[in-house]
Parts: sequence; structure tokens; C-alpha cells
Amino acid sequence: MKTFLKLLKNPISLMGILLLLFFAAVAIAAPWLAPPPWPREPYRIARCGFSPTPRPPGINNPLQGIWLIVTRQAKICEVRPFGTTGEGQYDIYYGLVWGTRTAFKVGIYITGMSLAIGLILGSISAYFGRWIDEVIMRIVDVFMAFPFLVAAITLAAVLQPTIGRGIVTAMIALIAFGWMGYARLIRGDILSIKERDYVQAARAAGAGHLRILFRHILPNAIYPTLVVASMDIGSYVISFAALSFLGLGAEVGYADWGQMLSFARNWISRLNEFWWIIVYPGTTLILFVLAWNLVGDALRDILDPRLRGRITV
Amino acid sequence: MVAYIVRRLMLLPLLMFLVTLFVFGIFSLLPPKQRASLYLAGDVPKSPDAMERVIERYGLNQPFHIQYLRWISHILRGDFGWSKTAQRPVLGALAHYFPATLELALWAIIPVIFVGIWLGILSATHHNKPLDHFTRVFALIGWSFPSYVYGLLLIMVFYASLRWFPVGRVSDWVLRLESAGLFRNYTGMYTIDAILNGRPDVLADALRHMVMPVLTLAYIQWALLLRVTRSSMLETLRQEYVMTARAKGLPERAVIYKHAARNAMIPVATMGGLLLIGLLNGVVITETVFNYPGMGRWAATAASQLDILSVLGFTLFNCALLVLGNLFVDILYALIDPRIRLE
Amino acid sequence: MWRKILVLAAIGVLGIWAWAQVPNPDTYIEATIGDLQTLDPAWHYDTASATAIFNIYETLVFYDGEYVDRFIPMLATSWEISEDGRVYTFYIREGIRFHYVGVKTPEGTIVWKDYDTLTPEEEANIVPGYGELTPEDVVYSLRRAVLQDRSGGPIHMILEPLLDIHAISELAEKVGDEEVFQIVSEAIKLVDGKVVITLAFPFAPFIQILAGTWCAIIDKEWAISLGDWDGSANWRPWHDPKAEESKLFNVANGTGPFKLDRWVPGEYISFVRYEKYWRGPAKLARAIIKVVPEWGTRLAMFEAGDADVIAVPRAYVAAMEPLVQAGKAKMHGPFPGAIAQSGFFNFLVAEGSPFIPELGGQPKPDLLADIHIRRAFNYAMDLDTYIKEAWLGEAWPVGGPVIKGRLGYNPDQPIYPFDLEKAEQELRLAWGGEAWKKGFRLVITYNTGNVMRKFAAEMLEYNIESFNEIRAKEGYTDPIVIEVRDLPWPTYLAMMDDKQLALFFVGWLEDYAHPHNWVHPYMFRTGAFAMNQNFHVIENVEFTPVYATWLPAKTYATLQDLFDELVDLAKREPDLKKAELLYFELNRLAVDYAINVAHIQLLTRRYEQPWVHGWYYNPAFPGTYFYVLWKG
Repeated sequence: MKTFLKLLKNPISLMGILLLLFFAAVAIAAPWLAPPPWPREPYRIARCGFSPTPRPPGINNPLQGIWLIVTRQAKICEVRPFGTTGEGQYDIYYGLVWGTRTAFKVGIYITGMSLAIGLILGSISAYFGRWIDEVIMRIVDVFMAFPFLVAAITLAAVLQPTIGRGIVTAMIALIAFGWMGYARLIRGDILSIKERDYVQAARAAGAGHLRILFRHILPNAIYPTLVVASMDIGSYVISFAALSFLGLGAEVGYADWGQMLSFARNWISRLNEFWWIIVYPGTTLILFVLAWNLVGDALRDILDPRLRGRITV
Repeated sequence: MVAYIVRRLMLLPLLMFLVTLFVFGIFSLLPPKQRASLYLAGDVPKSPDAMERVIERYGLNQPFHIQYLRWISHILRGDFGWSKTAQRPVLGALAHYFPATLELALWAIIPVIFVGIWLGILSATHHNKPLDHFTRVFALIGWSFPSYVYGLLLIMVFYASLRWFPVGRVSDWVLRLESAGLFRNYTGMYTIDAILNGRPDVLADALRHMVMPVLTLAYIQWALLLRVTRSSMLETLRQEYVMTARAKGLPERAVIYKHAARNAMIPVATMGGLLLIGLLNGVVITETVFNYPGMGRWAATAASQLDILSVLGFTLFNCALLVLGNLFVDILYALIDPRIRLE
Repeated sequence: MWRKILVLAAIGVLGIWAWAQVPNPDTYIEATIGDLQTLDPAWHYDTASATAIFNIYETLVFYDGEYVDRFIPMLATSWEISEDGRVYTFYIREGIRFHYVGVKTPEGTIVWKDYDTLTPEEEANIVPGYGELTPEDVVYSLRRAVLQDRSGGPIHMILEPLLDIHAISELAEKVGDEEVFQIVSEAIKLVDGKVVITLAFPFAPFIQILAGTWCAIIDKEWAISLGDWDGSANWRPWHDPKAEESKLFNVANGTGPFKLDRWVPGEYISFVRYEKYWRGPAKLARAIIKVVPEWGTRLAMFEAGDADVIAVPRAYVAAMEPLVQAGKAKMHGPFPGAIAQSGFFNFLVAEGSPFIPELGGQPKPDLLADIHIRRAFNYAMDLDTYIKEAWLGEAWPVGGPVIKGRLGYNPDQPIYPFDLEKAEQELRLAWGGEAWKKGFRLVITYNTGNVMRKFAAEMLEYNIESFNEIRAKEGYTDPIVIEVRDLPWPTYLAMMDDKQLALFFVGWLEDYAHPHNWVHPYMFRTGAFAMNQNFHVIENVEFTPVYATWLPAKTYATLQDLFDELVDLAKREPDLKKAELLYFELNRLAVDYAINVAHIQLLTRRYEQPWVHGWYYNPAFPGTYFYVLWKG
């Protein structure tokens, strides 16, 4: 409780939290904000034609356009508040709104799983040391040595005909090749904390391994890892964009911010004409990543015992 | 220390074996016809037996273990096979593409590390002031987009419009010099070779071609480096010994750089491995967008066309690179933080 | 810190100065998407390789201006075709030299030297025939190609009329290597210094095939000096090589207006002018084709002036418009391309396919064998909107495989109009009404990244699924489900070849300009597409001719038999008028049996810098012909 209040007091973290709340609200309210043209497939982005060239917003004031859509006075494709993408006239407003749900799902799920795996393996490795450390670190090496994009592409080629494209395959790939970073990070921090006085003291006092690990080491070692994790939540959405090209990632036309960007790739050279394809998805992405970063930072500022009460430079 | 290094290095062959087995395993899940498409050069098969003949010709339908063992036996003789996507022997492709990527990565490391750390320190020392916010948002924007967005924007402004920095590795006139035998390729890296050949104009040309890809690569990484440095610096600045140094009356500059920064670098060294991976993965898109013929671009093409020999060769190489890289980082790490003991 | 900045600035200024100094008014630069596969004329099949070979080597005959079916002499001075259309006799031009000629050194060895830079002494020591075009070279080149016949290569095109077989290895299995050599040597031989080619049956497009880059003439002595086939009965070691195993993989010695300068695979290929070209040297001194897979980068190269021509995928044409408006680019076209895009129905999807169609929830592999469903899809395809929106109007719907501009194209061939009512009627009739009542499921596939094919598939999806509303009102709740799926190219090919795709979109680029190269892939049982469509599933087909009225009305065991017989008759028919009627018949059958949907011929555009001149369009050219261009 005290933590939460502290979070609210800090203006920066407040902004972060508000942003996150805003996105969460958009995600929850998606069916009202952007009524799906295919009720059984809400993640299928609304299409406004078959031209390969992006179309500009149909209305000068995007907020007014959104209002018209929300109050059901106009159809999405009549208004197109944010314009449409190239390669199929996908409505950007629709894609961004429903893409918020995807962003949360993807970010939280992947980060959560990678973090869990990485933390467990990294802690065990660093704490017990010696041959356990060797084995686990070599496993980390195998996964790290495997070039991620190559692995992703190959995986895509193998799985396509059976499972088909979809966020599940992409998430598996990202988790499988994302946990190593956390493992190494936590291991590094634990290694340096392991020999510190308070840990030695606890050991001398006869505390069990798990107790030492969870009460003394991890709370102190985890901050850099949390810092990276808080950034990563926002970034997995971006990885999806990179993966779209390689045949992995969401299906074509799935509401996912990365998709919006990948549709924009071949029109960036004419950005002065087709500005909306980058401006809207881009702003959304930046704000989302920023929100997570601010909150993550603020959390660290508050939870790190070494910083308590001494925040002045 | 030496024992530790030797032990790590000895594990390299085991690692390579495991990783390549893994890759081979994945490919063996593919029906031979999918791999056959590589040899049809982008066209549909035009007769009923075309694919069958290709499969026969290239031995694509042999059992997995036979193909793998045959590959191993060739490797041990130094024959890494022919890369269909690079149109040269796999070893030759590695030798041709690696220096290009290395050159890019090396030149990128400089701005990545120095500017990244500098931004982090700047941010930390102006904690919660406007400069802090500005640098953080600036770096964050770098992290928010896939690299092709910046790449293409840079190209649009600085190449298409202003014509300051071109794409590719070098201009045509340099290629002509090479053709005519007037420029020798010693290392495969144009910047170094230009110095060795005594040609400052080639050096200028090569550098000019690298400005945009290096900036693109660096921008993405700054965010990460800034964050870690900043948080680490913030921690360190509040430590006892920093208070002591300040109390002793040392100038602020010395406090920051001599005492705080060194300890703050520890997590940064840990990031070293991630940075390396980030760069090596980042080059894939960067090289494609800037038409820079390097390993990243080649590896991605090989994987998407299912050119298994190339993928294997690249994986082996990547393996070696990462193991050595990680080892280097771990040693560095131990050197920086005296409290760490490498068992 | 400041010193660092100053140094960087100095380098920057130096660099910019260096750049401004570099001229390239006599170098033509093109940026394309893909790299070439090989420089061996007999091995290549892709357009990138063909473009390079097209400029370096030459063939017996060449296209007359913009015509695809009129030919002028090139390395042949004239030719005769026998009465029965089976024997071609070529008179070979004299006095032509290849880029590299064999020169005798004082030590007695023969060394290959650049003909352009020979010293008078070397010139006097040229060994006759070494780097000199002779009829033996022609015979050697053609025999070599035929005997090489690499898997997945172009030689099946020559083998069909020459020996009426598919593959040389097929013949060798039957009669042995020695005999194969005898047969080939008989079919392509030298008679009194003339090259005589004897076909197995009269085949009108044979001249077209000879004009193709796979029939480029190489110098026998040069090839042998590299270790290639020596021309004897021992041809087996050089049969079906991998690309890199061919001795002519990355070297070239032709008679064409440009010499190979340097090929760096994956990056660029550069050519230099052949000064002593027999028709006079080209105006361009150099040409470079660069591999630039990223569209945005190619566009930037064009805008910066670093590329004279770039490959512009259809989907991004709108990006070039501002440049054309501002006079910074020239657009040629649109021209009718030698290329079409179609949707193909597979009448029987193979077992084990993840895309087996369903009828009423049950697997129905032959769902598309019913004519009504296929007609319904054709009526439901809004080609006008598709062409207007996706192709900017630059495509033509074509009735039947044969495209406009070819013999056998019937401008009066009716095609299915866009008519949702008729589509509904047909759907109601499909499978005795079951399809309408119980609903069905079909997966339409296209290859990843091809936006145009995606649109076609999606339009079909929308229109067909729109019937669910009407059906719901009648109480039929099991939906008609059309799924559009993309697959990466290798997977796409593999599944197509395994007959696992149900309705798939793919394109066809002509090998040579003759209707046979359209009806064969689209309708003949071993054709590139027909072989994956299972026409044999349709049995007891009654045929009554409409155009080729001399044919008897007959019942054929299967639809495939009908197609096969007509395709075969058409290819052997020496009378052009009758051949045309036979192709009309084939087109009609293709439309009546609705073997395709959304079959359109594509128009192409070419974007050039304003300072490039001389280019003209010939659909049979694989790429740019540098010889006719100049910059200024």
C-alpha cells in the first residue's frame, strides 16, 4: 500500500501509471471503440478496399471521427480516423485499438514466462555454482549460440503448413530464445552479491539455501533484471513486426501493432505523402513502451532499499 | 584463470555439435520437396518429375542420420559445402561476409558504448530533471521501432534528398579499382584495407557509406545501455564510498568518473553479451535495408530459402563467435569486479 | 571530444567531395530484386541469369524489333524450314569472334586472351577456330545443352519437339548412353557446313525456342579448354550438374555486345562493352545490375540518381507517380506482358493435406470437381474491381489460357461476368444442392508476400461468404467458410507439387511466345499447373467441336484425355489457320470447364531516369538489352 501511494506521489511514475491505465481501458473497451466487422473474428482488422496504396484519414479531426464510430453514427471505413495501410487497406484505427489487447497479451505473457525460466535457472546457476553453474551456463550458450532470426525463420517454415501462422508460434519462439538474457543477468548480479557480508552472515547463522536465496540475495540482485524486464514488455510487440517478414508472427491482417508497422515498411520512403502510416502506430508504440518504462523505473526507485530516503544528487 | 579459459574453450566443440544437431533436426522435419525449391531458382516445377529429379540429385531424401554423418565427415575434412544462396563455398561465404559485418559492428560499438554510457551518466547525474527526461525519451524512441523504420527514414533524408551518405558498402569507382587490381583486399574490411593500401579517398568513401547503418544500429542499442547505466549509476552514487569521496572534497567530476562510473560498469559488462547478440541480430534488417552485403543478410536469406548448408555453416560460426564473446565478457567482468571469483 | 568531432567533420567533407567527383555518364546501372543463378546458358532458367546471358551471348536468330514472332538473322545468316516442318537448316555467319580468343604462345601452349586488347603479334597467332564462330560451335552448343539437361532446367522445352521426350535420362535408361549420343547427333548435325536440326514432329514455335537464351552459342574450344564436355559419346560426366559444377557457371565468353566484367554473387554483375562486336560497339561503355532486395532502398537509389532503372513491384507503383509528375522519371508502358496470374482449381486434393476441403463438415477432397462450384467462383469474382483497384487497371481478363497477342487468342471468347445472382444459382446446384444446404469449407492459398494474389483470394472470400446471409434466412446455419492462407515459397511449391493445395494462385511467365507454352502448362497432363489439378477425375466427357469443326464429336474417358489430345494436335498442326482454331477450341474448353478463376494477363511498366534513351519493349526479352541504350 505504501509502495502504491509512493508511486502515485512521484509525478513521473504517475504519468506512467495513467498511460498504462489508458491503454488498459482501450484494451477492455475495444469492442465498443471499434466494432468488429466479423463478430466471430474481432482480431481481423477491418478492411476498406483492395488498393495497395495507403489511403488518408477520411476526416480532418480524428477525435471527431472516433466519436462518430463509438456512437455508431458512421462505419469505420467511412470515417477512417487514422487512415489505412498499404497492401490491403487495413484500417489503422481498428488495428491500433484491438492491437492494444494483443500488445498486453504478448508482452505480459512472454516476459512473464521468459523471466520465470531465466530467474530460476540463473539463480540456481549462480547460487550453487561449480558444475551446476557450468552445465546451466553451457545450456544458455547453446541457446544463445543459435542465431535467433535463423531459428525463427526455420521454425516458421516447419510449422506453417500444420499450425499455420499465429501468435502462438511466435510467442514460443520469443520465449525459447529470450530467457537467456534474464538468466545471465540475474546470475551476474547474484555472483556479485553472493560474497557480500550480509549473505555470509546469514549463512553463518545457519539459514537454509532457499531462505538465503529468496530473502537475502534475490531482493537485492533482481533490480537490474527488473529494469530490463520492464523495458521488454513493451518491446515484444516490436519483435513481432520484425518477425512478420520472416513468415513468423501474427497472421496477415491480425490486429497487432507490429503488423501495422510492417505494412508501413514499403511506404516509409514516401512518408511526406503517407505520414499517417507511421505517425499513429508509432505514437502508440512509443507511449506504450514509455509507460512500462516509467512504471518500471518508478518501482525500482521505490523498492530499492539502498535508495530509500536518499534520493538527491 | 587459465584453467577456467581452457575449460570453457574445450566445451566449444561439444556446443557446436549440439547446436548443429539441433539445426539438422529442425531441417529434417521438413519434407524433401520443400528443400528442393531452393534448387529450382524461384520458379514452379515445370514437369512432373522435376522435383523428384532435384531431390535425387541433391540427396535430399536420405535419412537424417546419413545426411548428418556425411556432413560431419565433410566438415572434418574442411569441406563445408556449397552455399546456394551465396553462390560460393560456405567457408568462402563466411570469409566474404563476416568482415563486412564485423566492420559494421566494430564501428557501431564505439558510438553504442560511448554515447550510450555517456547518456546514462548524464541522465543519472541530472536525475529527474528535464535533461534526464529528454534523454530517456530520446533513447526510448530508439527502442520502440524496428530498425528498418530509422534506416529507411535516414535513407530518405540523407541519401535520396541530401545525397550526403549513400547506401551499400562502397561506391562503384572503388569496385572498379578492385577489378583493375589497383586495390588489394587484405582483411575484407574496406576501412582498414584503405589505410593499408594508402588510399584516404577509399577510406572516406567507406566511412561515408557506414554512417547511416552505424547510426541505425547504435540508436536501437542506446536505450538499453542508457537504462542499465543510469540505474546502475543511480545506485552507485548513493553508496557510502561516494559520500565519502564527496565529503573529502574531491571535485564532482572525479567523483563521478573515477569512483562511481567504474562500479556502475559492472552490470554494463554483463550486458556485453546481450549487446553482442543485439548487434548480430540487428544487422539482419540493417544490412538488408542499407544493401550492405554482410552475414546478417546472408543468414536470413539462407534460412528463408532453406539452404541448410549455409545455415549450418553460419550456425557453427555464430556459435564460436558467441562462446568466445561471452568468455571475453566474463573475463572482463571478473577483472572489473574484484569480488567475483571465477572458479 | 572536440577533436573527435573535428576529425569526423573533416572526413565528412572529404567524402562528399570525393563523391561529387565521380562521373558515370557512360555506365548504365539497374537495381533489381534477385541475383542470377548461373552464366551457363544450358543450365539457367531464371530471368536474372537470362538477362545477363542475353547481353553476353547470342543466338542463331533474334527478335525483329518489337515482334515476338518475327525473326531476323543473328549468328545465322539465313535458314530454311522443310515442307513437312521438321527439318531446319541454318547457314552460319562467318568472321565473328568471341570475347576471348585462343592465342598460341611462343612456348606452344594456347592461352585465351581478350580480343579487344590483343597486340598485333598476338593477333597473328590466333589459333583458327579458337574463339571464332564456326558451325561446329553451333552444333556443339546445342548438343551440349540437350545432353546436359539438368534437373528442373529448361531443356525439356527443346527435348519435346526434338526427340518427343521429357528428359534425356529417360531415353538413356531405355537405350543406353552411346545410343543417346547417336540419336542426338543425328537430330543436330552438320551437313556441308550447315547446321541441320531434325524434329520429331513439326513444331511451329521451334524458332522461338532457338531464340531463347538457353540456345546461346558458346565456343566449343573454349568450353573444352575449361574442362567441359569434349563433344564425344562420353557425355555422362557432364550430365545434370549442380549449378556450381558446370564449367561455365561463373565465366563467360560470348559473341554479344557486352563482356562479363565481374560477378560478385548476391551483390552485382558488371559488364563492359565489347569494342570489336560484329555489329559495331554499343554506346554504353559499362553496365551494372545490382541486387537490392529492399524496395525503399531501391527507390532512394533512383531518387539519388544512383540507379537508372529500378524494379518497381506493382504494389508500390503509387510511390513513383510524384517522380513522373515532376519529370524526374520516365514511365514506359503499360505494355502487355508475357505473363499471367491465375487461380487454379485442384479437382482432387491429396490425402494428408491440411487443406482438404469439407462439405457439410465432412472431408471432401474432390469438392472442386463439381462444375457448379467452379462456375460459382468465377461468377463471384469481381474482376473489374480487382483489376481497377489492385492493378490500377493494368491487367486484362483473358478467356482461356492463351494471352492476347498470341496466335490462338480469341477476342470473342466469352468469359464469366461478375454476377452474384448467377453465382448463387450455380452454388445452389453444386453437389446436388448439398453445398448450399450443408455449407462447405475451402482454403485459398497464395505465396507469402504476394499482395496481388492475396487480394484476389480475399475478394473471392468476401463474395462467396456473403451468401451465408441469404442462406441463414433460409434456415441453413452451417456456414460456408473460405479461408485465405499464405505460405512461404518453398512450402508453397512443395505442397503444390504434392497436389495438396485446393485453390491456389500463381503466375506464369512465358518461356517462349507461342500458345503451346500456355495450353501446355494450363491443360496438358504434364503441364506445370495441370499436373497438380487432377483433371482426370472428370470422366466420360462428351466433346463437340465448335471451332475446329473437322474434329469428330467424341466421348473421352476423362477430361484430361480430351485436353491432351487437343494440345497434342495443336502443337503438331502445320497449318496456321487450323492451329488457331484448335487453340480457340482449347480456350473455349478451359472456360467452359472453368479450370481456372481470375485468369488475367498482366501489363507491365518500366520506370527510367529521364536521361536514358533507346529502350523499346519486346515481351520476349528476359530483361534489358543494353546494346540499344544510351545516356544523355
